[in-house]
Amino acid sequence: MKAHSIRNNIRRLRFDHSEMTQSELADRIGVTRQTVNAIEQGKYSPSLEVAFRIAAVFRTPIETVFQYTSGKK
Amino acid sequence: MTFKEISTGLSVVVLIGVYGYYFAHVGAHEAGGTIGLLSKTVLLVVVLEVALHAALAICHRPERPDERDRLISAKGFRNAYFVMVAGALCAIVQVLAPEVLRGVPFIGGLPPEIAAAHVLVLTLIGATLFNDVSVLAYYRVGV
Repeated sequence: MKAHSIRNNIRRLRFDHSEMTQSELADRIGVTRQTVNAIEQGKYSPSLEVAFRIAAVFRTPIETVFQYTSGKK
Repeated sequence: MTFKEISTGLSVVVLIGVYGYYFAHVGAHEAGGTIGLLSKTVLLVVVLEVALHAALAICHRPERPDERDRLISAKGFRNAYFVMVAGALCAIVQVLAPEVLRGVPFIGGLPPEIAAAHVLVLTLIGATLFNDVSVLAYYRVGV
């Protein structure tokens, strides 16, 4: 798996928001369910627009959703 | 798996299967027979691709491509470009110095102009396959 220095809490945030499914989140941000799954697993870094949409869905700052860790793993 | 992943996997199987058979038998044909065999091969690929993708579309509703799908497609296309360039160079070598590729299996024994045409066919198939394999890898491993 490609080493990403960006982590996310999307899975936990989904469960904290009425156990939202990946499909529901995907529909609300305009991507496929597989893309949401790839983001959660760190296989894909979304664009800024999608990242902000995700934060808007959870009504939380984007830094709460995504964390950037400096330095390679 | 997304519709795109399954579709790409089907294309890989069809290309390897049909063109693998073609290149295994092309050396046994005269120039005119080669053209006939290639024509039938292309037709078979088209029929198989249409039939399989129609069946897939019935069984698996296609999703609208999103930004990840577009990025993966773009990267696969870029990878295929390198194969196209390498193949085009090989075709140029084949035309200018046919003796260089004389020992190549399947096509080395063909007349130079037929061999050059087959180098180009191989290039197109190789580029398509490399694109498809790249796409599958990006979907599985990440991009």
